[in-house]
Amino acid sequence: MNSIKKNRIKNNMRYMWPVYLVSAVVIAIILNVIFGIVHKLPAYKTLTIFVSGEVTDSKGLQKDLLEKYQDKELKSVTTISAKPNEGHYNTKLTVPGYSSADVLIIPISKLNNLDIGYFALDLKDELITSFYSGYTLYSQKEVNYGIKINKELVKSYMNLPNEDCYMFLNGGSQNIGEYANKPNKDHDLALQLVKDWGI
Amino acid sequence: MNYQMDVSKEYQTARKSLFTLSLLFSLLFSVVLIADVLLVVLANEDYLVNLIISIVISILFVWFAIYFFSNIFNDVNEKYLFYRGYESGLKEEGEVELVSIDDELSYMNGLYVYAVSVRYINGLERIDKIIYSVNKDLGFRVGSKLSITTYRRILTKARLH
Repeated sequence: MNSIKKNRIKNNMRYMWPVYLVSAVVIAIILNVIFGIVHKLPAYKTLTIFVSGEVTDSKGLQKDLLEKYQDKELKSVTTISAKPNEGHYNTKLTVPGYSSADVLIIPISKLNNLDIGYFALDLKDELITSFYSGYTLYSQKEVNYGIKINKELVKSYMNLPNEDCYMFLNGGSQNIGEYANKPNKDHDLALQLVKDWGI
Repeated sequence: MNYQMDVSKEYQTARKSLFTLSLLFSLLFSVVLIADVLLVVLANEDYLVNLIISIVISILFVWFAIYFFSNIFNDVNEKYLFYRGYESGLKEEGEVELVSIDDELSYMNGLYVYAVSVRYINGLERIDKIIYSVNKDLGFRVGSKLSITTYRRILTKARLH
């Protein structure tokens, strides 16, 4: 009886090995997705930056920001980049940029054609007083939206266009403290980043 | 001298085995499921270790489940279905001469059986056939003339003719 059983097990393995292989891969993928969904990082622990230009050292940028904002529980930094002279710049800016970026860095030459108020946070006097007093601002229709970026501070991470660039806070971000849809003054990573990189 | 397979007893045994296997598998499935849920729920943001443990446990369980259902459970289920269908199933009766009984075991309908060569006697006509028996020792000598009953080619009853 044992030799018959051995042969049947052998046959089972011979013909069923693809099922064993596929099942292992499927299980690994499913569990990875489940863990990813259940333990997805909250928005206030991640920072997404849209860069109009080229990101040359995303690992260095991530490492430095994670160290700098360690006390604010920053866990992940993501960059989305598009060169302003590329054909799909506007698509990248409007789709991943508007929808998921906390901070958007845009050159001045591109700003005239954009309705900034559509996505950017209105920098009210109270916000300027507490965070951006003395900074160079960008205004559209007499409303302040942007802060000029200090290119010297970021040149080791990214190549920005050879013109003035401004940073805008996304109005839908969860990292803009009391100005977010779910106000929480401790979740102000984007406000801090703009403050640190601004001039 | 008679040979008769105890179908009723074998049916009860197969049914119990099927129930026990189903119960054990359900328990094991519950344990693995609870373990996986706990690993997911109790993990923190750095969940790599929990994820690896969960993947290993789940893969081992699914591999076991595939083997279990294609071998262990399948064998018992086939045996159960064989005995369950016996009462209402189509049985073949005939007069035969016992030619030989094979020494080697084979697998058929969930049962481990020996091949039995018989010669069917129908008037002057003789037809050689292979039937199967769960017992090697039927208690009949080679050459004996027997009245037999088979179900799905497996010998269930035999008596000297």
